[in-house]
Amino acid sequence: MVKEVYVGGLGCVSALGKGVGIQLEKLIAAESGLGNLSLFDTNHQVVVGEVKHSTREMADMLGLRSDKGYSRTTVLGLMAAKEALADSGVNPEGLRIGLISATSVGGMDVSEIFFKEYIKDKSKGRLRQLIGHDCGASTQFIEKKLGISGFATTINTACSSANNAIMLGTRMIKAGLLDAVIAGGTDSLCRFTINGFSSLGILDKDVCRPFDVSRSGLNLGEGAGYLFLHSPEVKTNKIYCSVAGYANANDAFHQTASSAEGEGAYLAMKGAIEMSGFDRNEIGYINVHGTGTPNNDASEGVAMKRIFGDEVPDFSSTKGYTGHTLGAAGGVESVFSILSLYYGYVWPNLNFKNSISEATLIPVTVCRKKTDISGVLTNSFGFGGNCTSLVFKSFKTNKL
Amino acid sequence: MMQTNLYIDGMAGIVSSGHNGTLNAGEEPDYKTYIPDAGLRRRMSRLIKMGVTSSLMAIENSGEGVIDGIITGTGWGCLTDTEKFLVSIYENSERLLNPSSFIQSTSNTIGAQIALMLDSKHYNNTFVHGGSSFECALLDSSLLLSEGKKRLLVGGFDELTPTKSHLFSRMGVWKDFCCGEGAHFFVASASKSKQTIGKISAIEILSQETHEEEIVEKCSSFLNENGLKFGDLQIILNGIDNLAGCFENLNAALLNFKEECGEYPTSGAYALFRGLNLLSGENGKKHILIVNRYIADVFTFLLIEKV
Repeated sequence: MVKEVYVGGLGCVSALGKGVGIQLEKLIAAESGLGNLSLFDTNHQVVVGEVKHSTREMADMLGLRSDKGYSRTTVLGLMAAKEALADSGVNPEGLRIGLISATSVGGMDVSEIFFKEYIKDKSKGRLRQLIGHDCGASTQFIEKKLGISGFATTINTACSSANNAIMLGTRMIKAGLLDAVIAGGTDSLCRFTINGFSSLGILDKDVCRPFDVSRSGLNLGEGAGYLFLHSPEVKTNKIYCSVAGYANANDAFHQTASSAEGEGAYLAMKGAIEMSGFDRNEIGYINVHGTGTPNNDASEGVAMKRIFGDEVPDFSSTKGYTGHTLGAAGGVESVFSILSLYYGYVWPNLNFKNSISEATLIPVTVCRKKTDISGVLTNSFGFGGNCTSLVFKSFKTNKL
Repeated sequence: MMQTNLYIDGMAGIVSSGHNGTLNAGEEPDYKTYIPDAGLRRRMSRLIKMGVTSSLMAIENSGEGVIDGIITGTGWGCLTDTEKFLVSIYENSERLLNPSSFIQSTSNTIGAQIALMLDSKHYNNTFVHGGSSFECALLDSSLLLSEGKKRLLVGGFDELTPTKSHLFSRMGVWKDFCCGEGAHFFVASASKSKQTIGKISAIEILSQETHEEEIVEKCSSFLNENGLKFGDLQIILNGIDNLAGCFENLNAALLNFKEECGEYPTSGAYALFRGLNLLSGENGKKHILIVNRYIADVFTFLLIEKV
C-alpha cells in the first residue's frame, strides 16, 4: 500500500488561455475569460467561457492530422493531459501509468453536425463524424497519443466527473495498481449543453455572479484540466502537493436540484476534510462549486455553514473566470486550487457584490497573497446529486 | 491483472434474446412492481426503467443489508434521451425545448435514480468507457470493498435504439455482429455469506495495443497468475466470435455467449450473470473464465469462482 499520492504535474486549458502559466497570470490579474460565443451559431443570447482557438488550430498545435474531424473535447483533453505529463518530467517508459479522464459531452460537438444532416435524410451525414461520439473515445485517443498503456477509463457523473477521476486515480495508486495516473477532465462547448441548460432556465444572459444575491444562473465554459498523480517512488521535476482527502457522496434529493440543507455537499466536504487529517480551520482556501445558479449556491453555502459555522475559510468560485466547464470543472478547478496552495494566493470570486440570503457568506473578492496555506478544498457537484470534494495538502516548504 | 474480492450475493438482469437486438415481448418484467409512481415511470426511458428495475430486483434477492455504494457502467449511455433532445434542438430551432430529455441524457442518470429511490447518500460513480465500462465498475467496486465498504450495487447496461441500430447498419457493423442490449445488476460484498452465489476472483482489462492473436496466450497467463490452467475451467464464456475456433481446442467446455445476448458494450455484465448461474463446482472444477471484447474495443477477462 502506498501511503501518500503526490501531484507532480499540471495541465490546463480554459477560457483564460492555453497552459498553466497563463491560468496563473490571469487568476492573479483577476481577468475573466468570459465573452460572447463565436464557435457556432445559436439563437440563445449567452455569455460563455470559450477557448479562443478553433479545434483545427489546436489540432495543428498538437501536430495532429488536421483533416480528421477530431472532437473538440478530445483536442482540449490531449492538450492539457500532454502538458501535465510534460510538466512532471517523467519518462513513461517502464512505468505503469494510467489515464483516468472525465467528460460529460464526449464528441457531441461533432455528432451535432452529423445529426443536422441525418434527421433530414437518414442516408446522409458523414459516419466518420460519429467515431468520437462515445465518451470513452476521447480517452482512448489521448492515451494512444501520450504513449501510455497502464490503464484507461472514463467517468461521467456530470459536473462532478473530474473530481471522481482524480479520486479514483489516487485510490488506484494507493492500492499499488499503478505508479502514476494522469487524471482530470475535458469538455467542450456545444449546442447540446447550451440548449440543455437554457431549457432548464439556468443560463445567465449576463456574466455569472456566484454567491451574489443577484445571481441568476451559470455561464457555460469549456476546457480541460489534468493532474499528474504519482506514488513517492516516481520522481518528478517538482511536487506541488499531495492528495490528502477525498469523498464522494450523493445528495439523493432530486435529479437536477440540490437539497436546501446541502446534504450531499456537506457529506462530500466533511468526508474529504476528515480523511485529510486537517482540522476545519486549517483549510486555507476553498474553491467552491459556485455555479451562480440560485439553487447551487444556496445549497452549497448552507453546507459550508454546517461544516465551518461562522468561521468559513477564504473561499471563491472561479466560474466568473472560466464559466462552468461541466465534466472538466473538477480538473480545471483542482489545477486552480493547487496553484493557490503552491504559489500562495487566494483567488477572487469575480462579480460578487452582496451576500446571498440563505447563508451570510462573503467570498474573497480581490486576489490576495496568502503564503501560509497548508490545505485547500475543492468542490464539484453535479446532476444526479453526485458530489465529490478533494483536499490537497502542501508538500514543499520552499515557495516560489 | 487485478485480484478481486467481490462476493456476489444477488443479481438480476433484463436482456434481449435471439437475434433481433431489442427486447421481445415477455422479456421485460412488469415495471409497475418496481417503479410504482406512474409519472416517474412515464418520464423514464426504456433504459432507465431496465436499469432501475434490474437493480431493485438484484437487491430483492440478495438478502438483508444496507447498500453503501452504487457503481454503474454504460458504453452508449442514455441514447434515447440524448437523441430526443438533439432532434428537438433542430426541429424546434432551439426554442421552447422540454428539459426532461436533457436531464435524463447524462450517463449517470440511472445510478442517480437508484440513489434517489433507495435514499442512498453513499458513494456513487458511473463509468463510460466503451467496452470496458462494466469491468471498470467492477474494478472500482473491488477497491471500495478493500477500503472498507460492505455492500455495493454494481451494474452494466446499454440500450439499442432504432437510430443506433440504423447507424450501425450503415457502418456495416451488423454484417459481423448480432445486435443486442441489456441491463444487469449485482450486489457485491467483501466476504462470503449464505447468500453468496459466487465470487469474482480476478479482472483483466488489456491495453488498446493488444492484438487478437495474443489473446489465448494472455488468457493462459491470466489463469497461471491465478494458479489455474485451461483444463481446470468448468467452462469458458467467450464473447469474441473470431476466437471461438481457438477456444474449442483448449480442453475446456465453451459457450459463445453473444449468441444469446448479442453485441453491446456492457455484454460482460450478461456474461457474468450467465456464468454465475452456471457455476456448479462439479468434478472439482470451480472456475469459469469470461473472455470478451466489444467490436474493436479492448479485451477483458473475468475469472469467477464457486465458493
